Amino acid sequence: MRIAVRHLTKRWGAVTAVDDVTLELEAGGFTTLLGPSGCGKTTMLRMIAGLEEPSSGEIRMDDRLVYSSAEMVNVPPGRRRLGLVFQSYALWPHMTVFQNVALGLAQQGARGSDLTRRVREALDRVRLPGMEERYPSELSGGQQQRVAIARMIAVEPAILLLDEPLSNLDAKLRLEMRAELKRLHHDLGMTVVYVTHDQIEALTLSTKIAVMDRGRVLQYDEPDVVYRLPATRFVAEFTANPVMNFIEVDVSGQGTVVVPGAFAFTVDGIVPRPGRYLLAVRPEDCRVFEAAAPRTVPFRVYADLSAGPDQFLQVRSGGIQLTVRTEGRLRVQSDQEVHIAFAGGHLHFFDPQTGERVGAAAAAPARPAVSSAAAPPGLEAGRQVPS
Amino acid sequence: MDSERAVAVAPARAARWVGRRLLAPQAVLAVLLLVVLAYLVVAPLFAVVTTSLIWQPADTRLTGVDVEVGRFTPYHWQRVLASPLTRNLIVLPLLRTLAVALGVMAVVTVVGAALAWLVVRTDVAFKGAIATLSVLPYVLPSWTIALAWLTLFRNQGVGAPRGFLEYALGWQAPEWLVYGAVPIIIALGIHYFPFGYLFFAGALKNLNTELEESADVLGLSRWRTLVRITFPIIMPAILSVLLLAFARSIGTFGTPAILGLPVRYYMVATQIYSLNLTGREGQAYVLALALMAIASIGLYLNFKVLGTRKSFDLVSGKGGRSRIVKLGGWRIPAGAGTLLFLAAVGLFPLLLLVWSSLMTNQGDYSLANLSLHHWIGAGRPGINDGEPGVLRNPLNVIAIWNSVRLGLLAGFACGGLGLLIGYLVARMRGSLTVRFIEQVSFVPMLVPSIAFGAIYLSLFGRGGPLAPALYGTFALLLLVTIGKQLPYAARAGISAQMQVSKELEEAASVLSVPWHRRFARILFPLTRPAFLAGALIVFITTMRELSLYIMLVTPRIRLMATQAFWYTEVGFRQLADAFTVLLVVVILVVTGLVNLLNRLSAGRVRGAS
Repeated sequence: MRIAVRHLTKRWGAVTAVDDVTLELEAGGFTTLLGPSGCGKTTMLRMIAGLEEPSSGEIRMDDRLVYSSAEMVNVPPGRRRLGLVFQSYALWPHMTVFQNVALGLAQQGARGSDLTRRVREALDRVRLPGMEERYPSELSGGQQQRVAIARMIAVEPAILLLDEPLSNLDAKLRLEMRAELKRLHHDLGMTVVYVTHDQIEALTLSTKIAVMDRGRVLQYDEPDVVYRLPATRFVAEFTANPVMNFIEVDVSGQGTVVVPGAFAFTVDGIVPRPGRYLLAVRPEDCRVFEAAAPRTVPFRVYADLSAGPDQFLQVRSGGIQLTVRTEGRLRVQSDQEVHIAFAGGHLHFFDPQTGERVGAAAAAPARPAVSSAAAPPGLEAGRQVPS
Repeated sequence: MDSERAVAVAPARAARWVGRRLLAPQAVLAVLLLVVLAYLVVAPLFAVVTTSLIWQPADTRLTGVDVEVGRFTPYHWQRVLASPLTRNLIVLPLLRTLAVALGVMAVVTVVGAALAWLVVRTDVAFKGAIATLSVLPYVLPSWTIALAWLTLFRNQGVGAPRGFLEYALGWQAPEWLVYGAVPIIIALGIHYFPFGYLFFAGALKNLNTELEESADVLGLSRWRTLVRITFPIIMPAILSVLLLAFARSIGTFGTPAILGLPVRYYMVATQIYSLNLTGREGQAYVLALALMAIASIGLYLNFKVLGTRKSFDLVSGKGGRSRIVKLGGWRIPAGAGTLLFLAAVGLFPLLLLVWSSLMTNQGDYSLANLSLHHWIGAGRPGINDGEPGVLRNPLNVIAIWNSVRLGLLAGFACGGLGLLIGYLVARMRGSLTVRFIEQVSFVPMLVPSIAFGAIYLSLFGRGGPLAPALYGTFALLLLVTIGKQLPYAARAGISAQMQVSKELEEAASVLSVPWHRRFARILFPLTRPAFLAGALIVFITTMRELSLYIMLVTPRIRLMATQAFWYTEVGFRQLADAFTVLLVVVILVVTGLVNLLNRLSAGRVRGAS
C-alpha cells in the first residue's frame, strides 16, 4: 500500500516536531526514517499509525484519505489496516504468547480452530514455534521481539510500522534479526516503514531512506545514493561509518583545494566555484601508504584503532586530524609518518553556511603543500566517479 | 478561518470530526471525573464557607439578635473571632491543638527514627519481631490506646471508677496524667509512630551508603557524618513524617474526646463537635475552616522546603549494602528492651481491653469478676443500666454490617476512581484539565477529618439546590468516605498507571481493540494489585475511622467506631472495650479474607517488563 504524506506538521506548543514534511512511500517498499533522537522520525511514524494527531497536513493510504486537517478526516489507528512494532515491544506481560498474538485476531472475529491456526502461522512465520504458553518475561529479548512482530503480522496488515525494533538487542542478535526482517518483507510483500537512528540498519534494510533532522526530511533516496551523494553536511555526517572527516578548505580558480596552513591538492572534473567550503571525505576514501608516493600528503599517526580485520588510523598534519581506513593491515606506531592519498570521486563539498552540497569532484594530483609529485599508479582503479 | 473550513466540508464529516474528539474515552473520562470531584470536593468546600456566613435554623433560639434564616450574617465569624467568647471558643483550643501536635510530632520522630535505625542499621536481636510489632499500634483504632490508658490510670481521685493501677497498687495517678495534654500526646504519639518508623526505615534502606562511606574516607567522625550527610539526605522523609503527624493529629477526634472532654480540655476537633451538638453549626464551620487553614500552612511549608531540596532525589537511588552497626554485648538487651516497649504500647493495650471487657463490674480486677456478660449476657439491671452484651444487641449487628459494607464499597469505589484518575494523569500529562483533576483530588488531604465531616454535614445536612438531603443515610457516609480517602487512592492509582507504558495500550488500539476492552483486558489486569492494595487500605482506614463520621451518624445509621464511642460516652466502659476488641477482630478477619481471595484468584501474572 502506497503512503502519501503531504505538508505534515506536528507542533507541541512552541516545539515543532515535524515540520511540513511531504513524502511518498512506495507500495511494497521498505522505507526507513533515519535520524538522531528528537528529529521527529518517531512522531512521523506515530502520525502515520494514527496514535498522534498531526497539527496540519494530510496522509493518504493508496487513494484513501486517512488524515486531513482541512477535510476533517481522522481515521482511528484500528481502522488503518496497519501493524506497529514498538521499540519496547509492548508485549502484554500478563498474557501468554498465544494470548498476545490472539487478541488482535479475536478482535477481527477469528474463533476456535481458525484462531489457533492463524496464531500458529504467525509464530511459525517469525520462527518461534512451541512458545505459545510462555509468558513474555520467560522469553529472551530476541524472542520477545519476534512475538511483537508476530502479533502485528497475524492480522495481515497492509502496512507494517517498526519503531527502532532492534535497538534493545545485542550486536549479534541485531545482525540476525536484520536478516529476518529483510526476509519477512520479501515473503509478505507488505509496505514497511522503519524508524532507526542506526545508519547501518538503514543502509542494510531499506529500499529507500529518508534522512531527517529537526523535523525536516533532508534527503529521500535509495540507500546507495544517500551514502554516495549525501545532500547535506548533516546527511554526510549521519551516514558516516563510523565517522566522516570534515576539513575547512579553500578552492582556488584552478581546481586546487588548499587546506589553510596544512596542505593542498588539485581536483579534476567538476569543481565548486572558488571560495570557502567544507570538505567531507570518508575514512575508506583515504588511501594510506607507508612510504611517500606521488600525490600523497604526509601525516603523523596519532593512534592506531585496530579491531579484528578492521584498522582505522587517526592521523594528524598541521592541526588537521583525519580518520582513515587501511586496506589490509599496516604495522604502524604512534608518531610514525604515513602518507595519505584522497581517492578520486569521493570528495563531498558543502556550503559552510547552509551545509548544502555544492557538487563533488574527483581528486586528481593531490600534492602536499611542500612537494609536488605524480599520483601513485593504480590509485583510481576500482573507483567510480559518481554520476 | 476554522468556521469557513467547516462549511466547506460535508456536515456529517465535520460532525464526526468534532464528535470523535468529544467522545474520545479520555475526554469522556475527564468530564466524568470533573463532575465527581466537583461534587465530592469543590461543592462541599464552597458550602462550608457559605454556611458559615448565613443564619442557620438553630440560630432562631438566639436572643438579642435579629435572625432571619438563610440571610447573610457575619455573626458566626464575629462570635468566634471577636467576642468575649473568642478565648474559650478558638484561642485556647487552637493553642492546645498546636501544642499537642508539636508533642505528637516529637514522639513520632524520635520513636520512629530510633526503631528504624535499630532495624535497618544495627544487628539488633529479634529484628523480625520488632519490625512486625512496630506497625501494630497503627492497625489498632486510634482511640484504643486512649481507652487502654484510662483503664490503666483512671482512679477515684479524679472522679472515675478504679483503674488497674489503683486496684493493683493503690496508687492514684494525678489528674494531669489521667486526662489532658500529656496522655493525649502519648496516646496519639503511640498511634502514629509506625508512620515515622515506616518512612525512616524506607529512607535508610534506600540511602546510598557510598555517600556516607565517602565521608568516612575523608575522615569525618560518625557523628559529623550523621549530622552533615545522613540527616540532610533523609530530610524529605523527616519532613513527610512531621507533616503527616501534624495533619493527622490536628484533625483527630476520638482520643481528645476520651482523654480531654471529661475535664473540659477542649481542642479544636472536640470544640467543633460540641458546637455542632449544641446547635451552633455556623461557629463550628468557622472553626473547621480555621483547622483547614492551619493544615494548608503546614502543607505549604512542607512543599516549600521540599521544593528547594529536590536535588536529594538521589535518596531513592540504588540501595547499596547498609552499614550495619555492631551492637556487641548490647545486641540482645537492646532487642529485648525494644520488644518490651513495643509490646507495652501495642499488645498490652489490646490485652487490657480484652481483660476489661470481661469484667462484670467496673474497677474490680479480680478473677472472680470475670465473665462474658458484656459480650453475650442479656441485660442485667444494676450493671450498665441493664445494657445487653455487645453480641446480644441487634443494633450492633447493624453497626458491624454497616461498617463492613461501607469499608468494602468505599474501598472498591476509591480503588476504581484512583485507577481512572491515574489513567488520565499518566496518559494526558500536561493537559490543563488533567492537572486540575489531579490537584483537586489531593485537596481532601488538607482537610482534617473532623472538618471534612462538618463540611459534608453543611452540604448534605438539610439538602439544597446542589445536593439532596442525605443526613442520616448510608449514602452520605459512603460519599464522605470516598471524598476523604480519594487522595490516597489517587496517589496509588497514579503511581500504578505510570508504571504501565502507554505503548501497551497503543499496541491494542492499533489492533482495533476498543477502549473498554483495552481497559478490561490490559490496563486493569496490570494494575489490579495496586487496586486491591488501595481498596484494602481504604477499608482498614474506614473501619477504624471515627473523626470523619462522628457528626454524620444518627441512631439509625451506626458504625462500629461510632457505636464504640457512644458506649464510652455514656460510660459503659466494658461494652466500649468489648466492641473495640470486636472491631479489631473484624478488621483482621476481613483483611485476611481479602488477601486469601486475592491469592486464590491471582493467576500467573508476571510483572510488566
